[in-house]
Amino acid sequence: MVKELTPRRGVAGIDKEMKDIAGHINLWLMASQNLRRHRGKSLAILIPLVLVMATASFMMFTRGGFVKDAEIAKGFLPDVTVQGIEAGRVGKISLTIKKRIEEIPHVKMVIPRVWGYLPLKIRGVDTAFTLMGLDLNRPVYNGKLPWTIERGAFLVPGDRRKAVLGQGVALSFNAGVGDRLQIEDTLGNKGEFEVVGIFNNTVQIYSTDLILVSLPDAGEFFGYPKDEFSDLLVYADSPENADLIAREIAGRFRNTRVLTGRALTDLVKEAFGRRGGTFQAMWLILLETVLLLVWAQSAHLSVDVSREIGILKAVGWQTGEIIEMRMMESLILGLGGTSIGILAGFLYALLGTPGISGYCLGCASIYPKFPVPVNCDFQSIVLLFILGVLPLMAISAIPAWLAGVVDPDEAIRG
Amino acid sequence: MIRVEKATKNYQSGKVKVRALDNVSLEVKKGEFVVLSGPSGSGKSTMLNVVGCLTRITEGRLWLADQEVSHFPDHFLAAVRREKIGFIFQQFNLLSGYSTWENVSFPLLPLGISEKERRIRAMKLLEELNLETRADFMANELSGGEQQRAAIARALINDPGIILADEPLSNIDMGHIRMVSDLLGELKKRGKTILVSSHELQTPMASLLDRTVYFDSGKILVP
Repeated sequence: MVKELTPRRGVAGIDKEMKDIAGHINLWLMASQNLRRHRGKSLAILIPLVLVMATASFMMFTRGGFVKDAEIAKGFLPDVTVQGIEAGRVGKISLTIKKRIEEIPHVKMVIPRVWGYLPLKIRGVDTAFTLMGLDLNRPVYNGKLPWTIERGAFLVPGDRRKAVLGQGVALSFNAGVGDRLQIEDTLGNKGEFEVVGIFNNTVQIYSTDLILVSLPDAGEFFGYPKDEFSDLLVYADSPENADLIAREIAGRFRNTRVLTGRALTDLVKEAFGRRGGTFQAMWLILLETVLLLVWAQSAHLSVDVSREIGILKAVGWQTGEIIEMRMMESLILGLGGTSIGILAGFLYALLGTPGISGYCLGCASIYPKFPVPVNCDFQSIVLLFILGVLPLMAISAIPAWLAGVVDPDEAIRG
Repeated sequence: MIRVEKATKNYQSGKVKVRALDNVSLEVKKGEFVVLSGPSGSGKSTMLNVVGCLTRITEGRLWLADQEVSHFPDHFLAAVRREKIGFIFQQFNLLSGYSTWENVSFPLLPLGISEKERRIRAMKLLEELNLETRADFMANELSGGEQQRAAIARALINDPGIILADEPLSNIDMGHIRMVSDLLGELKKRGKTILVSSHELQTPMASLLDRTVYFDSGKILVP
């Protein structure tokens, strides 16, 4: 009995595989040629796609920058911040409360802080800075500073009438290390400080408007009694105990407002996330516009497309080959449009989102100017490519598929 | 070579059901030159579409080269069209955004044949059809006769065994009717099976014919 064997993959098999690959390459080449041939149609899709992806990119990158800032700062925030309440509003908090909080179980350290806003007019422009005094004899922020020094040095215990400035402040006053800074706000508070250091811009939204001085200097500046502070920074022996301590403080001291580090971070994220959300909504509308445009183009051309597909099928093309060519056209358009859009969006974000930076920063009218933070990470780019390319491929493949699954005669007749 | 057995083809035209072929049987031997004749709407073009695997019959069976293809899935039918059939459409059906030689070479493109080789093969056919000077013209820049010859070239590019032509002489001038007829005669000499639809018997083709099949109202009058 002769057993029929399955043919082994020989020279003929390899030759067929090579021809298959060459066939795919031919289809891809034709797809790219088609885009050049139908320039008008290609540009009608490409231009809106670039605009949408540029908008989406700068929105995503700037929002990412804010969120990243907030995330970095989260590591430096105290576990619990306690503020005093006077007549229902935020007021001073006393040394007595500080001492009593130190007695609560799991509290590792309580650091008093005096701070306030300085409304100023610089070169005729209203602006506002934050002057903050910290106890330099204790490990400031539990030794985990939210800032690092770019120039000069940090304050040391015993320093008086000395300050470290955020970059926005240094820029506004044109101040450098060694300069003497005379401040008089519009409320009449006065002070003179020697600049000993400038913060770097790791966490822009926290440091840019900051003037950091010693606790007694800040108390004197704002006219605080010696045993009163703006708030208390409470550090737990373990982060898991933060909520427990917060509840305990809130229960014991009715005239305080207790904020956990997580709540503060969420507040910042929400504030900037909301703006990001606005852009996201805008971007979704734009994306929808592009998809509708592509769909309208496809629908408009459906008779022609159907006829073309019918002809190609009639001369021996497989439905899959036709869809492959159509999807390749969309892939090239999608990759091109998304790449250009991402690049444009990134450059726009790097330039500080001119025209809408005020909205991005929220308080820009009173804050010193500082660049909108930008964060361009791999995940965002992958997401942008997925959102820019896949819907385009899908939506252009559908008419090709619809025309491809009917008999060639029917497709030719449209 | 070609065998159609009890074929019925129904179309849905809006709410109206049209029976384009009504229980028709036809057999064409290898190398035969057969004309399907009859008035408009008689079913001759539908028969060509059925034999060319451009449309499926509603009922009945179809054999091409001793292989029943009636129930072949779509991708097998595409392979049959690519390898065995050359179809010349009445309306030419060239793609307007492409040059003449590109239109002619479309059937070769998915086969992985290089652009250079595709062009060489297309040019050879275009020369035979006296159309080489129009090779780089866009299809929509060609006259009706030129488009018809380009469509013929496209049908022949894969050297198929079966040539199907739907009214091939109806849109070309007298000078080119002779050329196309001579070409069909030459193809017959090469052993190709040729099926042509025509609403009137063109004189230049008469000498080439083996037989004529008359259609009326979806039926064959004289088998």
